[in-house]
Amino acid sequence: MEKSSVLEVKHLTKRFSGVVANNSIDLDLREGEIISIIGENGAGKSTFCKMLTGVYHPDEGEIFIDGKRAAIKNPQDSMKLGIGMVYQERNLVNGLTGAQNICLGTESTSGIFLNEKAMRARAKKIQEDLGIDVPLDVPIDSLGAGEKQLIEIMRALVSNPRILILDEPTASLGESEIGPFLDFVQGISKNLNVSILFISHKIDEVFQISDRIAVFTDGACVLVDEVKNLTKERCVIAMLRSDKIKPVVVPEKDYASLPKVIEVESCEYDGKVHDIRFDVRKGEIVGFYGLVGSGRTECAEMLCGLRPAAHREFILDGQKVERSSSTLEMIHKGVILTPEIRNNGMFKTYSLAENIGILFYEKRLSNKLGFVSRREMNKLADEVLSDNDVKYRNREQPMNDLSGGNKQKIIIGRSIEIEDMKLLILDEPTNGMDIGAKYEVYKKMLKIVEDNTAGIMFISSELDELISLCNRIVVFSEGDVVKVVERSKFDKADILTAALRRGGKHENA
Amino acid sequence: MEGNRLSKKDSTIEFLGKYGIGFFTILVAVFFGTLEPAFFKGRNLLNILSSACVTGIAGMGITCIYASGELDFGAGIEVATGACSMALLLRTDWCNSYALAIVLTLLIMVGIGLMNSFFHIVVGIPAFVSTLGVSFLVKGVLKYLTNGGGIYALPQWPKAFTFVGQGYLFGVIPMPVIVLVAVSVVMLLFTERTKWGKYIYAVGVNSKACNYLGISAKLQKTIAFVLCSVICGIAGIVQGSMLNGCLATMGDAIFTQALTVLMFGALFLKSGVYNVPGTLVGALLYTIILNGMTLCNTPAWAKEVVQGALLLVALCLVASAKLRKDAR
Repeated sequence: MEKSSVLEVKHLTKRFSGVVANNSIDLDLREGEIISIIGENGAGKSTFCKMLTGVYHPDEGEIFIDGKRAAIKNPQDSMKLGIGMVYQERNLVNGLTGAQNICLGTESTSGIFLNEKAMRARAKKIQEDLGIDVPLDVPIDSLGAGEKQLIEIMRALVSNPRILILDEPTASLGESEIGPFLDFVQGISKNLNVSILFISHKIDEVFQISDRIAVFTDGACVLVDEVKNLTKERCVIAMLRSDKIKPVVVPEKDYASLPKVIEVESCEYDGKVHDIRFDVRKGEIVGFYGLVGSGRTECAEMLCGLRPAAHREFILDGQKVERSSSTLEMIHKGVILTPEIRNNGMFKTYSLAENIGILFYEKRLSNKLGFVSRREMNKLADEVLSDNDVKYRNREQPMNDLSGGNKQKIIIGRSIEIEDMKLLILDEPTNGMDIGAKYEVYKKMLKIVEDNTAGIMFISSELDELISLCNRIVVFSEGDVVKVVERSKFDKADILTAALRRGGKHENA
Repeated sequence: MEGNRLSKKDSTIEFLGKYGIGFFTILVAVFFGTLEPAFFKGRNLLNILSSACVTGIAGMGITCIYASGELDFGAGIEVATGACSMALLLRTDWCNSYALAIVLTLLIMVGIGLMNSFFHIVVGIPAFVSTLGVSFLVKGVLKYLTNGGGIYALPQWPKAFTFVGQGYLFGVIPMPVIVLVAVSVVMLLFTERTKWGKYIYAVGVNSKACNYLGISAKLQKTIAFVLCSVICGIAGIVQGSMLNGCLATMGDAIFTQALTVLMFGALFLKSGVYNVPGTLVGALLYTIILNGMTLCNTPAWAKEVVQGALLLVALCLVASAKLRKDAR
């Protein structure tokens, strides 16, 4: 017999300033069922969850709970309706015990005092219902990542939710912790009859845990089916975006004859040895693909001296670079990174001229006494602004007046002006831009590598733009390089599979 | 037409935002002048200028540290250290030259600046408490060295000791004014024209962006701590000379004064940005108000109420100016 649905959404749509984040999503969640939601970055998974938890409000469509139409105005409404959410980031208070954390915000009291005994009993009750064993009386700082995650989930269960949303709960767990954790999640749905929406990037665990799988692509729910009717391949293919990006004309080059600008093997940072074997040639654009948390940004930051490394060694333009190099030294060596978050690349209230000039105060624009020449700065600023087709009023206007695309043009434009620029690392340079602005960035990138004096590391979460622009794509997963693909062998399904796989071995295609 | 009128209104607002505090200063002066005619006497005006100097110079010091996005609660004790160090050094037999005493004092100030920077930047204690801790420590040492009381008018002090605070250049211009102008000019050039000054401001505005540009926020903040301490030390040298002596507690009131001056300054020229010309105007405004109240025989408690109110008003205005700027 078919169980009744606890949650049902119909035609749920959400737009952000014209961009569709969720497009007419239909989904129903039955009693005691686990549905996994899987999709690429920006596929609309979190927007969907945030509408269920009342953080966002749908533009169109309806949400039904137990067949009754529900208006979820804020997170409190959502909790009252029995929806519990566990966010990807930890929300525990260090220093408090497990039991205290579980009852945080819903403390038991006797008079004006906290009733520690009652809280302990409530936490214990949940623990017994779930049949697990987590220390409840020690400060949570002393617990491991897996135990903390269990406490976090127990906290969500305090209010007796009937629907539990878990956002990438295994992201911070170690290899050995994942198996027991998945059993635990299944236990919640069986023993407490709670329905679960399980959001994940990892296709293996999704197949292990779910009753049904929903695939999100470009804001739409493109596939929902029982696990037994699905294969991993079918899910990956469903995740691929429709071809919306017209291919940019990439000129043919004899890459093999070009010298390597950077060669990396392995480095130790963030307390781990990372196997990051890749190289970039002069005149080449190499794409860096991976899902959120796959370690591309971390790797780029480490290479530029922004992230401390216990062991840092790579070959730059034929010369060995060791760990002591600071960001300034790397810039002097001709390596520069433009940040993923555009605000970290600029001073909003400063003028355009100052935003361009500040990178060159150190040497080019100042004399021996350290005085900055305003005339030289303005000259350089005018050059950068016109060379990069920035749309602006005058160079004294504040940076914040410009659109995202024009800001990015300035950030890239000034970066390539550094002396003897060899390697430009662009971290999500087209993030949040419209198609037209993206094309201008692509054109600029092709122009930078045109004369074969510099290479570009192009970090992006949009596989399509990487495929259309890059000569090779380096795929990251869990902090390591798991695959390097040549342009002639680009295959979306193949690359996505590599990025989704956990603990895969390095292979060359 | 419509557009023109709008832009005219906008530019009026911009003009007032830039120079409003300057006009307000003149207004306050006229107010006290009509209330008490002695206010505009040449002697009183010189008085105002001289007493604006210590606050003004100390204000330059904390302009540096606030520009870098940090704060230094020890500014007052740094002023006292400057004065006490001069008095104590010149009391000894071995330090017999005024110039040597100046050099050693400034080195001591560098040391205090580095100490502030060490506890905040290296150890990672919030600047609010670390500079407070350092200032208590230094104050205790000063009290010990001055035997708990003050040191006044020692016979072995050279003439130069009082000249900096009480002398006149060409017989007209008070020496403290010369020091204030000199410090301001150097600071103006440093903050507006040199790369180091620009870096200090940049770190205060967006230290993350600085990292990507190879500008070390830690180094810039350390420079700011040292500069703040050294400039406050100079203010102390001037004040000690004015008093012809020193006292471990002499800087106690200066921190709040300098802070108010700094905040008023951030309303001049560059709205919401601490800047050198602004600090100068702020120092003038502040001293005029205090001087005017003294001339009008305002009781001591009322002066304190006014000082506190001035600080709060200035803080509110700066906070709203910053909000407006960020919202743009």
